[in-house]
Parts: sequence; structure tokens; C-alpha cells
Amino acid sequence: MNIFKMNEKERKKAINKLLSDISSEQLLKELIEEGLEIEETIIIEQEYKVRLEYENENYCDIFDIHTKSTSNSFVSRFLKNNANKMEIGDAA
Amino acid sequence: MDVKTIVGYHGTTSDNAISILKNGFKISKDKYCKLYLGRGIYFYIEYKDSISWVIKKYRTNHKLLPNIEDLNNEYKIIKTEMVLNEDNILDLDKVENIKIFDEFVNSLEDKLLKEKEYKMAKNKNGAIINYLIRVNYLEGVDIVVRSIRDKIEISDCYSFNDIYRKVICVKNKNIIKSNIIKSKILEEDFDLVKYFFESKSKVV
Repeated sequence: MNIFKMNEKERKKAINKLLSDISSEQLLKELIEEGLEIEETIIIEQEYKVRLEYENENYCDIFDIHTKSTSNSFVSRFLKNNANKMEIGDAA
Repeated sequence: MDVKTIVGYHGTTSDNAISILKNGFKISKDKYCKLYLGRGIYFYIEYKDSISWVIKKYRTNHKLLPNIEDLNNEYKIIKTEMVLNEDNILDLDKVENIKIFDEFVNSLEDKLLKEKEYKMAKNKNGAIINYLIRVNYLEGVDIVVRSIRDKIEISDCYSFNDIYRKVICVKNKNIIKSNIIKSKILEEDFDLVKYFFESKSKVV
């Protein structure tokens, strides 16, 4: 999209989308604060791939979380915000 | 959609000019965001503005103004032809676009301040444009155009000592259709441009 080609309404929406997007870094911090145990973090530039233990289940990576729980708000937001960066097809 | 041909002038060292002709332009990494319109390849619309740029470069490197022979030996000006769709030009001289740019920056200032590149940027405009590209909010933009204010030396009894030079920053190299090295800078062009580098002040 091109912000200079949008009408005012679309522009506002686009700016709000950017404002609401949480960076992966921020989200990772929130996940830790939530008490989720991070086993392994692989940092690829600004993108984070997180391996964590969720609700005493086995270790799973971010692709697995999608199927095990979308109720957790942070996880849901992580998935939502990173959906375009992930290979969803790899989900368990 | 109208297809447009734009000619731009790019001043560079003689060695770089040969490399550009051979291998094409390269977009520099510009790690510290020194560039006015962000990462890209820069051109002046006016040939004489590119002469002014090489004179300035020479003066910075040698701490003196060049004579025409030395300038022609050390620097070359590349004339580049670009073909693009008119819709893919972002003209930041237009008030409506400046307003959008300003609204964007005001709304996202807090977010931008968290961006490493923005914080470190020597040129905030450039960092904002790079950010817009990174978040895919400048899709389809091939060039960014903006006039840059420059100081010139003129008599101090009136106030025309600012000049505006229109600059193109190419974001999409594919629009470049040809590059040629302009023949040597002519004496009359050189003298005209150099005139504005020499102080006209009567104050001693």
C-alpha cells in the first residue's frame, strides 16, 4: 500500500494499524512477564522465533501454539502480528 | 496511467563514473541515515545543480575552489534517463504530500523514537522514508522528489541567498534506462555556477 494514495479514512486506519502492531521484541518481553518459560530464542534480525512451554504441555514452537491455544491474548497477538512472517502451513 | 521519461544528473568521481557505466548504480547502505530522502540513488533535475554539487565536493576535499581543468579531471557528471509511471512518483514538494508526511510523523513519533535507525539517524527525513518502505507503506514508489535548500553567495544587500535544488531519489533501479557520462563541464557553465561560491559581501 501507499499511504500517499489513500483517502483520509484509509490513512487513519493504516496509521492505527501501525500503532497497534506490537513489535516481536515487545511481545517477547510480555510473554516472559506472563510467566511463560522460554526455552530457546532464535533471533533473526528483528524477527523472533520463540520456543516456549505453555500450560505444562510439551515444548512447542510458535507454529504449534496456534493449534494448542489461541485464548492467550499475547500469543494470539503474536500470531496475528507475525502471521505474514510465518509459514503457517508448517503449523502442527 | 501516463508513462514519463525523466532525465537526472548525478555528479561523482571519475573512477566511480566508470564503475557506474560498467556495472550500473548501487544503492548504498547508508547505515547512519545521512541521506536526505533515505536510501536510494540521487540525481538533480538541473544539470547546473550537479555542477554545483561537484564543486562543493571538490572544495570540501581540497579546502579550495577548483579550476575547471582540475574539476573535469576529478569529477564526472552522469546523465541518466529514467522511464516510469507518473503514479509512481512521490513528490514531496506538493503541499498535500507534505501534510500526509507530517500527519504520519506526528501520529507515530513515539513509535519512531523506538526505532533504532530513527534514533541514530543523522537525517530524520531519510529515516522516516526508510521506515515507510520497511513497513510497506510506500509500495509502488519508484522515485521520491523534493527540493533542497542551498545557500549561495550573493551581495548582502538583498535576500535571495537561498536557492532550491530539485532532487530525485530513485528507490527502484529498474526504471533506469540509460547512463552516459556528460562531456566535460563547459567553461561558461562552470563560471556561472562558481559565481555563487565566491563571496560578494562588501563588508571587510
